[in-house]
Amino acid sequence: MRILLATEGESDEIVARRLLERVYSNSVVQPKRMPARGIAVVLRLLPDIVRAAHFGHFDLLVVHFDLDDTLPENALHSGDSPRRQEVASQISTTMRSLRSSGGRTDSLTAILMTPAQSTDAWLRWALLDGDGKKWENKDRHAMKRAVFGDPPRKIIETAVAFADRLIVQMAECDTWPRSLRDFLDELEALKKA
Amino acid sequence: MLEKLHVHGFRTLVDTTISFDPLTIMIGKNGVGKTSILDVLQILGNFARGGVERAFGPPPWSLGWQRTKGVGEIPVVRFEVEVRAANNQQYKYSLALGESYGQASVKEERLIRVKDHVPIAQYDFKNRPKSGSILAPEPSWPNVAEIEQVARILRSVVSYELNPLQIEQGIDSEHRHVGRDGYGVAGFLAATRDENRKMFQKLEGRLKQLRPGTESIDVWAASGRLFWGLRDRNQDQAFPACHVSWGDRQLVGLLCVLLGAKASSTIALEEIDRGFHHSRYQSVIELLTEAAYDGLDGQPKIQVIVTTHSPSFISKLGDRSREIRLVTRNPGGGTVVKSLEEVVAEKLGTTTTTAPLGEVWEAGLLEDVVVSSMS
Repeated sequence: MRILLATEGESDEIVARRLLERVYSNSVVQPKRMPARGIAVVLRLLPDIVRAAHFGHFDLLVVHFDLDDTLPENALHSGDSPRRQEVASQISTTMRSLRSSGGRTDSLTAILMTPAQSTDAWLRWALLDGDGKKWENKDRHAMKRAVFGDPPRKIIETAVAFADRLIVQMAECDTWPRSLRDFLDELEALKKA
Repeated sequence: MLEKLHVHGFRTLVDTTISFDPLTIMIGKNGVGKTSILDVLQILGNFARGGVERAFGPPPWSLGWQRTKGVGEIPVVRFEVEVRAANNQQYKYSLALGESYGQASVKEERLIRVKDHVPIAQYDFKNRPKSGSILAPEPSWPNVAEIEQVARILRSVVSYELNPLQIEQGIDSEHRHVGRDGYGVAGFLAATRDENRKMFQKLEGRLKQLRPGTESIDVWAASGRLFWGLRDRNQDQAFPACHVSWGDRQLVGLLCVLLGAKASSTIALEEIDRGFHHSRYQSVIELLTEAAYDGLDGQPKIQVIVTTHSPSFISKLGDRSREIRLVTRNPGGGTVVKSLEEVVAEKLGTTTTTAPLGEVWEAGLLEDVVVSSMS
């Protein structure tokens, strides 16, 4: 499987790749990174990212962006975030406009990796355990400082170590953050299909 | 004007072709071969001006250090350049260089008229040209007028790496040209002010436009050397160049290079964005565009080739992807150059991107880099 992985930052990319590896062990990942963090940048680049995945004949497009605090407190699924809905709608609009162009007969599948509030909450859960959902409600800036220091240092080394820890934690513990479970459920469902 | 360059066996330019427009902007990551392309242009220019010795100088700056490594034996380095001369004829000049006793030497040199594929000059090893190159033709040679047209174009090729630390330098009064690194600006300014007042005024006028608040460019002599500085409005004395900001020094250097260029010159500039704040990019782009397509303030048109790493600079170019060349390395290591317009069409199936071009490039959407194969 060929996967185009677009993320907001390098630590997110490392975590995403480890999670993809967990589900698709024989995949080839082409990482693309947004030039800056923030939903405005994601929205601006999204049509070009979808086009790159479509015309590059990728099987799967994974787009990462943080939900920040857009997920309602009692939400049952990450899809309840209006930010996620906006991105999903933009992706399907672009995909509809591209259907069967560029010599493509199969359709591109897109999956969103949308940690709440950010990927750092998943890493914090991996390290400190507890109820994953609670970590999702904590302030994302505090999570970032806790994971990478203030100012952030050794981002790659820390992300690699914590991503490994996350995989172990996912195997050992059931109380996953719901945004993590939603992402993995979507990947597993696609694999089964 | 240079239209196309093909290089074989020089550094990462294993087998690389690049086409040129009146204004060509090369973008690419570090180490992909952008500087090597500019160095080839400088070598060709220097070769046309003074043969192998001018192009390479004595060892260790011999060709040997710069031959492509790791792709098998490449006995000769080959440069082929297509030019369009003032007579609107297209010519292909090719130069093959080998190495003997640590010094680059000509192995083949020829000039072909493209229209009818007729060789109009060829290096004769039995009767070597006195100058060491067919680009300095002797009056008795056939086709001397045509050779001279091409030679003039190649002699005018200069590749600059402007450096504010060199631009600021004081200089002997005999020095009148801006060197490759910007050394000599003070001499150029003094000579222009004294001998070509009109051009000096153009230069000052352009600077005032691009750097509001400038009153004048002052040039003075002290201890037998020439110095330059900028005087702002409401100041009775100029700031010496060494106290002028890096971006402003770079701007003065750029204006000297562009306005001082001879007619039909090809000027290559390394890292055009260096030292400039983003807010100045648009003005720099307009300056380069005007120099390339109209000529600056009545000066003749020149061909401009620049490199940049700045996505913001690229974004400011708007939809001018036709003039941008994306320089990358193929998996074998050789440099590949493609028009960005072509790359965008191939990768994104469109002619214009939704996001600014610089952001699309920075996000890596135009380059294939497989970081991991997870198996």
